[in-house]
Amino acid sequence: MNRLRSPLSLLLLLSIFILAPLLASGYFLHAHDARHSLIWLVEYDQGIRDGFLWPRWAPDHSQGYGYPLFTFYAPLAFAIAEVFHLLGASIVGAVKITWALATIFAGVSMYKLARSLWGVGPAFIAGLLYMTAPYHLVNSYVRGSLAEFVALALYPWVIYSFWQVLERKNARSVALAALSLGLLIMTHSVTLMLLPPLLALLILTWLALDWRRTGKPPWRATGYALAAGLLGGMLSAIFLLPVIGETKYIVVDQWLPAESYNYPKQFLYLFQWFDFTWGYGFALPGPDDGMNLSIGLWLVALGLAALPLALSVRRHSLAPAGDRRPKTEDRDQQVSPSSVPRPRSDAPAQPSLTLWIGFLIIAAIALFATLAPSQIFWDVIPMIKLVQFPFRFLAPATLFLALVAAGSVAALLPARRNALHPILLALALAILLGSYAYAKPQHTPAPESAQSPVADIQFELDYPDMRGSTAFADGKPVTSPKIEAYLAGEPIPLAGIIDGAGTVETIRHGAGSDEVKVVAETPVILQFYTYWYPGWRAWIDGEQAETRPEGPDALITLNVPAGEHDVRIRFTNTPLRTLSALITLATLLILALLFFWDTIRQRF
Amino acid sequence: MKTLRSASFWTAMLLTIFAIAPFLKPGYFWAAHDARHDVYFILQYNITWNEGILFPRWSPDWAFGYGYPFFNIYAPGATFLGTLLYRLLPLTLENAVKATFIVTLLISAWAMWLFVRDWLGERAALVAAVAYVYVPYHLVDVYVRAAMAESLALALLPLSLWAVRRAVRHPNALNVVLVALAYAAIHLSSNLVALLFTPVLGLYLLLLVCQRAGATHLMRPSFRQNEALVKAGKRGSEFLASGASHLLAPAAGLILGVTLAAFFILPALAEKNFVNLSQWYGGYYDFHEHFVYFAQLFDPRWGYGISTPGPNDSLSYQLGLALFALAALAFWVWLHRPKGKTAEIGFWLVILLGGAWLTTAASTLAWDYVPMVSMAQFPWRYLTLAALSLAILAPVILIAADRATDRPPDHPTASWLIPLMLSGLIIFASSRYLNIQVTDPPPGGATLAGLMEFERSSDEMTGMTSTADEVAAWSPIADLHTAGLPVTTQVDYGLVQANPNLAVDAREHSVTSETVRVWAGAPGQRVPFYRQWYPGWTATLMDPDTGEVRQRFALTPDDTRPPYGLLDVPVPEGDSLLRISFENTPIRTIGNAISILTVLLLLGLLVWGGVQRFRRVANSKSEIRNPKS
Repeated sequence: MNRLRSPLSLLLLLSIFILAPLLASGYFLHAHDARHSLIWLVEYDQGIRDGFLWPRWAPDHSQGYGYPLFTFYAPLAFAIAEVFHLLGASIVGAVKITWALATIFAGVSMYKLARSLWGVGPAFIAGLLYMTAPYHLVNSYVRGSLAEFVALALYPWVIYSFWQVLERKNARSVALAALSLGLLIMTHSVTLMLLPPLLALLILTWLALDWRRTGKPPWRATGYALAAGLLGGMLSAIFLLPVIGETKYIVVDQWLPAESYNYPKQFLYLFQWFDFTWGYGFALPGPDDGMNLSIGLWLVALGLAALPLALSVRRHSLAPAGDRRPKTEDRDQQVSPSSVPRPRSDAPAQPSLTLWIGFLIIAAIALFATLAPSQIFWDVIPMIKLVQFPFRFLAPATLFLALVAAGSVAALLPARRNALHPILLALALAILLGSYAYAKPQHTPAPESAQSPVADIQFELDYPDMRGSTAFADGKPVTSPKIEAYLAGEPIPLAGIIDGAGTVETIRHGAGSDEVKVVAETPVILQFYTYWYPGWRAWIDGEQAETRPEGPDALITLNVPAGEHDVRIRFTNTPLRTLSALITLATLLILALLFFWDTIRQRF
Repeated sequence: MKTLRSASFWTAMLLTIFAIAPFLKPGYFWAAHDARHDVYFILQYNITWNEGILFPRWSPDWAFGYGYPFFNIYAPGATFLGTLLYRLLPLTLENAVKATFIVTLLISAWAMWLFVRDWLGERAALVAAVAYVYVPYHLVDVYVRAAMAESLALALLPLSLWAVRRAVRHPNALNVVLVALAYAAIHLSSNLVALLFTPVLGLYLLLLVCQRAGATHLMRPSFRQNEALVKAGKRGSEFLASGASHLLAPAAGLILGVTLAAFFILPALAEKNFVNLSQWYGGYYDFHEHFVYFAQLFDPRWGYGISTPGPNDSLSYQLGLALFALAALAFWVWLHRPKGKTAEIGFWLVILLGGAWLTTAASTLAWDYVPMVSMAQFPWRYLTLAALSLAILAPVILIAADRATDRPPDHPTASWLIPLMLSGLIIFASSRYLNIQVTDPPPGGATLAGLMEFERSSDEMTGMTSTADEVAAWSPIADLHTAGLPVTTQVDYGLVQANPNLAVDAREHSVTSETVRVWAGAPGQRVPFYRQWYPGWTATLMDPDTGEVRQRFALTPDDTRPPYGLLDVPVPEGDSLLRISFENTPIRTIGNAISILTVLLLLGLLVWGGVQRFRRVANSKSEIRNPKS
């Protein structure tokens, strides 16, 4: 009952305004990446159903030749959706549940983070601000980019868990921080360039402050934070290592140099931060982007404009003020960073100025990165180009501005912050009012064809530049023998004989494995209509056979002797993938150990 | 300084960012009603500045280069500001206009903040400042109408309210100077707004003076009792004496304000009939066609079109949902008679209703018969008063909130969240309107060629003086501007060459003067110029060799030729040097002299006030040091 009375439950209740559009039937297929979000779950699901615990191969990509999509695209968001699909939800249903959960988790994780800093009242506002920020709504209903959206939900949790590492310096917090970072990397790889550098900056600030406060170098905290970071990286090894090791096998450039992915042309104009025009178009070079890329009215009002007020009130209220005394034993104030003085009976818990300004500076850095003057940094910082769109920095900016806003609210609240002051309810309504009109996708039906393998084929027919190709092929596939069958809904031809006489008959088709029966009158060269890629292996009647890439599309090709044979191919692990999976498994074990370390130590 | 130390002030200024942001867009809103005018105003002002004339009255390139005394009859403040920004900052003409609008938005927030802070405290000031920036009519003025002059005037209104309020409460020399400066600034920014606002300011001043003089005591029930009636005569005379003493400083300030702006006001009044006023008041400008329909005051739709007869204007005349709701709450607060605030809240409610009423056809009688009312040109201009009152009334509800929390409004820890929330809601209510329509530049863009094209396409700026019979459609000067060639003479050589008795050789040319050597073979010859006549054009005849002045005379309407009323300057027979120049008429000279004298007087008051203040501070310091003495 107590839990129900917490502001968190109200926050969750209010999230209905943002989530409601998901309850409508159909989907919003016109959102930029909306078709992807369904197609990729279809691909992921086939991988799981074909017995792959960590699917990497998307069988319907590249005109049916397949593509190692999930080697390069972080799969966690789809793994989450897959759980609901396996539990019985349709593809669209599973994806929508993931959207909804990510929205809620964004609010909850921000609430937790802000509560640990400023108390429940400001945390309630921070959670709401973060959940309803324009960039959040743009990501869901305009861009429809599921993975990025789920990553946004994880951001506050990552910051919170690392904060706990610095504060508590114990094994359990290290395990949780590593887990949060690892999951974040596996959710959206681009995020690696967005949040962790800013997080590192935040940690360095904390360490410097701690050093100044205690006079001793904070070796322990540094070590714990480093360990958490390292373990987080190790946890994501199953995804990260193959990305690094296998980039040479695909044509990466096809995803990078296109005009629209060209970061110098995608910088925002200052006015866009404060723009209210909403649209469903794309980000274009120049000031006339089709979508809103603003900070948001309330984030600006509370996170920036209110700062002078908050700072001056804070100054006044540091003087003894009888009616601002918080209850010291309040259960919501369990955790308090050391740079924020724990509430004592004689003084109210005030936002730590340094921390507050720190958040503001980090938000300012993130915002600056969206503007053209930051190009000198974009030009020289390695890897940052993978972010593709400077506006993506709106995500960390939104996060840190929400924290600054929570700090302002904490300072401006006339009463103690550990209860939900009525004015905050009014403020919450005002915040909702500001975002409500934007929580609206362009609803479309979601026909079966959008949730099945043919959707992938159709998408690539509509956008030929989205056909991926391997480094072994001569270029993007122009067509494939599978397309007609896909479109006609007939059984898909898996392989053909390119030299010699014989017939091929499909036995089984899976996401990462195919089996055919070859009746060869002469020795034949059999070609599977699947990209050759490291990891593909073939067996003729159970005996492993040599494969090679052949033809302009570099498809899996092998020699089959005359006679009747059962030929099977399967996408298997390379040594690198095996190693990376082992590292991840080992790290998981370590994390489990760390998580229960205190219990284990007490028992033994 | 007190202002700069106030957090509320900085928050108010920061919150203007959403209104400023549209002006940070690349490109220019060429299609906004006066957006092209604004650019060409600054262009003309700058050209005249280049010749060392700081307060130009003549715009040389209006009317296809025939010239027009535009800044003699149109308040030049905003153009002055825009030209200043254009010259001080590395801006294009278009960006100078945008910068001017940004500055006016900032001034409006600052001015409203000052006024309401003195009245209701800093929290209310924050709300009022935000309300004033985002009140829909202000946004119409800025984004849709691109009315630079009105925007500046609008921004300055609260400043004079603030100054008058200060002068009533603290009648000292410095406050007299403040009133004078603030009031003069309005006159120099927009004649129309000054006309609309002056009665309001006068009434407000009277209200303050009455309040100060204890008029409220007279209204008390005790006054109605018999014994009180006996004292009434005594009280009345006391009241009048006290009122007069409180009126003195602000009234002096207002008079000094008018005299400070005399260099503009006097000529504008005296010489306005020498331009063709029907151009600006007849036809499209007939106010009967532009009354606002009552429903339009509450219509949330927005558009960028112009005012048209009928209820389907795409131009918005709305009062604004949030601000109207807050005004309604202010009415509710007024019903509860808040101590010391009732009269002023009531006053602004009346101004709001009056302003709104004057925009509608219900006020036709007033427009037809009350002098000055129709000077506003368009009824919806009275939304200026409504917008002002809406912003002032917006924070009144905070009085109720303060009473509920039982906390003094300026207690440092009093909740700022309520004013912040109100501010955010006000911005939200206007958020859909915060945009400008950027379009490609029209032919010629921000150049003289562009101005010529603009006049040709819309005859908007082809102003006629009283001697012109018809509007020019093009001119040889316009040909030069269109070709990008410099204008080296404005003598009509076509006419000169057709006249065998006349030879003219141009010697020197500037935007407001020209010198030519003339040979006239017969008496009664006239030198034709491509310049419109207007009082101030003066001819000087000199000896061509020695330069000795032979004759000097003001040109009159008789010295013009039809149909455009261009100068036709009589010259004596023989050889002479003729110089025509646009000079001060006696009324302009008087106006200038009055303004200069006022400046000196204000400087004197400033010094005197400064010394007084210094003494007061010194005295109070010494009292602190020696409390017994």
